[in-house]
Amino acid sequence: MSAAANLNKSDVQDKQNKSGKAAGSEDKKFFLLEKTALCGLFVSLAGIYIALLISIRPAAWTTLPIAPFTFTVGIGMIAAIVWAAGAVRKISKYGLGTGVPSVGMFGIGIACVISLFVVSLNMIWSPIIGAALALIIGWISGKLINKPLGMNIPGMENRLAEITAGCTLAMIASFVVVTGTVSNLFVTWGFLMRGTIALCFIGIAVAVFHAYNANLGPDEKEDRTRMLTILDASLLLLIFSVTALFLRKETGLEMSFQNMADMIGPVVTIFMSIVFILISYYKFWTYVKRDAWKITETGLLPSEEDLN
Amino acid sequence: MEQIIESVNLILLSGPAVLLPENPLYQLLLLLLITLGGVLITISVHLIPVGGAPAAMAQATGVGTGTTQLAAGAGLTGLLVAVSIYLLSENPLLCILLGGIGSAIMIAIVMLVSNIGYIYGIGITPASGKAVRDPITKDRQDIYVSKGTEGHGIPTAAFFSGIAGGIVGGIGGSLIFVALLKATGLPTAATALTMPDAVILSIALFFINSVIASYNIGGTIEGFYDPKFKKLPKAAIVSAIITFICGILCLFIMIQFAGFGLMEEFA
Repeated sequence: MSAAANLNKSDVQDKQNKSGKAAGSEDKKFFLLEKTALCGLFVSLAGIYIALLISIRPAAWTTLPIAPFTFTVGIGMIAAIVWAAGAVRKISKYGLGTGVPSVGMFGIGIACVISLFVVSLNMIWSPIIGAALALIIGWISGKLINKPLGMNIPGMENRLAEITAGCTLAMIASFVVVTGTVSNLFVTWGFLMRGTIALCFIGIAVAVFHAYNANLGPDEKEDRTRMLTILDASLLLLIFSVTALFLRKETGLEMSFQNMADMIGPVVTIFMSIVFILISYYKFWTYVKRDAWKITETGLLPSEEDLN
Repeated sequence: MEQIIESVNLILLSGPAVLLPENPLYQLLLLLLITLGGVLITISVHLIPVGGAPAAMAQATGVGTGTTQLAAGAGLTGLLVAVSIYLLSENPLLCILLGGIGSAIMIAIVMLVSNIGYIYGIGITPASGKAVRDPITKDRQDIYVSKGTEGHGIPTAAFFSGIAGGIVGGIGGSLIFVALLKATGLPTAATALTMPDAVILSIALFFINSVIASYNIGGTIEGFYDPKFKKLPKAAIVSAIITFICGILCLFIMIQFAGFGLMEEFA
């Protein structure tokens, strides 16, 4: 009797839970108030602004601060890429019909235009303006793609806004990682004229869309995809920090980085990204082993005697 | 301490140093040219025979890769030709036309090599699944299509359609590039300073427009005779709106970067 009562109770509780969940999913939160969006937006903005404000030291050539300690920006870049990749995962799970890379390339195309625009404004508020502008333009383009083009994917506007904003923040963060500032002049000479922008363009796009494209399938798990995204973003951060090291050692930005103390930022970023790569690779490998049904060895290649 | 407060005030209160264009009508004309370039890129993607993943397994007509990659490969080649021609001769019209021809050569090589692979590697006859007779040669197509597939290889009509698409797309990309370079108002000898901005912005606009066209056709298309080609006006409108918004930002970037004292301090 008591067991039956317990069963009934548990059934009722289950029903209540389900109805509660259903009611919760009906009145959805605003998409920027979700946990991933808040995390990506605030961690990346905080990373950029901590680095910019930690040493308020206007250089002779610009009124904007130049950050020596750029490793917080690296964390911000990884957070922005994880945010955008999460949105790519949500939008591609529905089925685009044109492949996952297309949405990543669309996001990085708009992000490139917006991030160069806000950098050309030459203001300390550039990252915030860039995020807001990217959210607006991404939402408008998502609406246009959904309605006149007839894609009819639910939530296309919100996800495209998230992808665009994440790519924009990652691109601005990579400017700060390499040149140490969001100044017009330094970004032009340290980033555009040396061709680093091409690497940044395709690198961020690949980091955003690669993880879901590589993991997609019926057994796709969110934590595994996210860990692969962190691995991609850390590899990109390693490349950027090596670029920053050589850029600061050579000419170009030498006028503001005469002390050896200013080399601390790139060196710490290199070690930090290597640690991130090792940790995320190990965790990704454990997730792969967890999700795999069976792992078999392929054996060695046949020797010449076996072939004859 | 006073120095710190002073520098904080300097940083937080420093407004954007906006350089307004001297001749607004000229900038508006350039903005319209950029929008036209974006629409031309969208049209070009509709003309190129793209098969996507099924074509990679010879189960659909077209080149076996995605729209974005194919259009970007051809468009970037056209842009490369346009940049080299602009550095050699300062003639914008020649630069735009040769950019289109560079794109067409690239897409023709891609289609020819993939056709060699399909015919001699897989052993199929190029046949269209969407048309009973080829619109150009009037040969019958349906009896050559293997069972369970939607055509395979790149037949004659799709080949010519692809070359036309390459020309249109290359012209669109080069038009955006030349319009952005002309927005600076600098003499030709100084364009090397603003060349990276113009190139990266035209690449960005190329990717945006090719993805819009790709969403319109749903991944695969055979050429001008495909029924999906009739959906072109919708994509042209959407592409025009988004390129117009991005074009305003692009022109602003070019004016800012060109006029920000780069010449005086570094040249």
